[in-house]
Amino acid sequence: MIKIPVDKAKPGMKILKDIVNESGMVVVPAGKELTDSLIDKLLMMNIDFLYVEGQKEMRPKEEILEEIEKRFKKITDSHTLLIKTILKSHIEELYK
Amino acid sequence: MNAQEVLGRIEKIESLPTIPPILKKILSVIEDPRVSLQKITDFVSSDPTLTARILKMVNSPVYGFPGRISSVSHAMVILGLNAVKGLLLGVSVFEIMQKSMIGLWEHSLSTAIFARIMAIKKELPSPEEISIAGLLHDIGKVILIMAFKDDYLKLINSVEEKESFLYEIERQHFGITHAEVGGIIAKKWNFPLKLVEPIMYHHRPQLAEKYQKETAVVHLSNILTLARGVGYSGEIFVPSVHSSAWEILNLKGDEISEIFKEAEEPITTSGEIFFSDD
Repeated sequence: MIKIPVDKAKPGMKILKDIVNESGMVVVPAGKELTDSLIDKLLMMNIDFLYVEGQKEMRPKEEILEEIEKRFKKITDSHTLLIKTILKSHIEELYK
Repeated sequence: MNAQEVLGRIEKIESLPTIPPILKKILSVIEDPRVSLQKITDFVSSDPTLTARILKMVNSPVYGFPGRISSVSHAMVILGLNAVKGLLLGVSVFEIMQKSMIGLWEHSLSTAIFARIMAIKKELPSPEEISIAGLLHDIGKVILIMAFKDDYLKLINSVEEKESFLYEIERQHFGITHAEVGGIIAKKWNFPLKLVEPIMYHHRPQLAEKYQKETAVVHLSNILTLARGVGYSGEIFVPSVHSSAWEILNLKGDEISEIFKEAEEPITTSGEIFFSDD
């Protein structure tokens, strides 16, 4: 499942999460397929995002962790090193 | 080159040939300390591109009002004059950033996002304004690019080879850093101290006098953005968090972890949203 802005939506995409308006009412239930007129409607209703089928392109975790190591090369102080540790576990979480 | 020469050149920024006419107009409007809300609203409303960009920005995940702000005057009421002035400048340098320094816009947006989340967490007043300071913290780089394009791009390119921080290389070459240039220019534009100090001292937060917390937030937000690797600011290394900023903010490990989590979606999606139709 990926979250996309409405202006990136295309007919044929399957909606995976109920689309709700500002007051929390379901405007389009999960499971429906997008059509041109439905996209227009969503745009008019000021809906920003929707969840559709697909996979977010994620780079290999190892590559990202390696880059973090490089970026933190000059760091020796404990506070910034703590940020590095927290960031690395944040990245690990993203891939779970 | 020394700092005086650099400042002499950027003081005349409005006459630089590289500055787009729209930015010139914006500067003449925001520079006036007596400018009213109404005048800014009228000015922005007379330009559809500007209006669209402002609305897009305030309705984007960068700010916390998704799809709720429908007019410039509404944005004014919610954000306030100072934040809108900053936002106006921010969205108008978008193009210069895009053309001259790929990635600086994403870096700036991400810093704005981290700053807003952190300011809310620390219960600081007007998180939107602090977020604008985050958006504009590297405005000095835009100015240096406009005033000394070839020189400055060379400096940026030398970061890798010298394995150094860009702001250190700037000081060696110009006698002044982008942070100070940005702060001086923000002062010249009559921006409030609340924006000037975080811009001026985002690499040396210990020097802030009146807005230490705000400056510390922008300092740390810039570092979190560099750490997470969003966009490109010319730096290839993460700088150390200054101990004074660390003490002032007093963030616990789990709070930092929450900030990374909350920021994850906006920092990865806001760039795309902004680019989608311009």
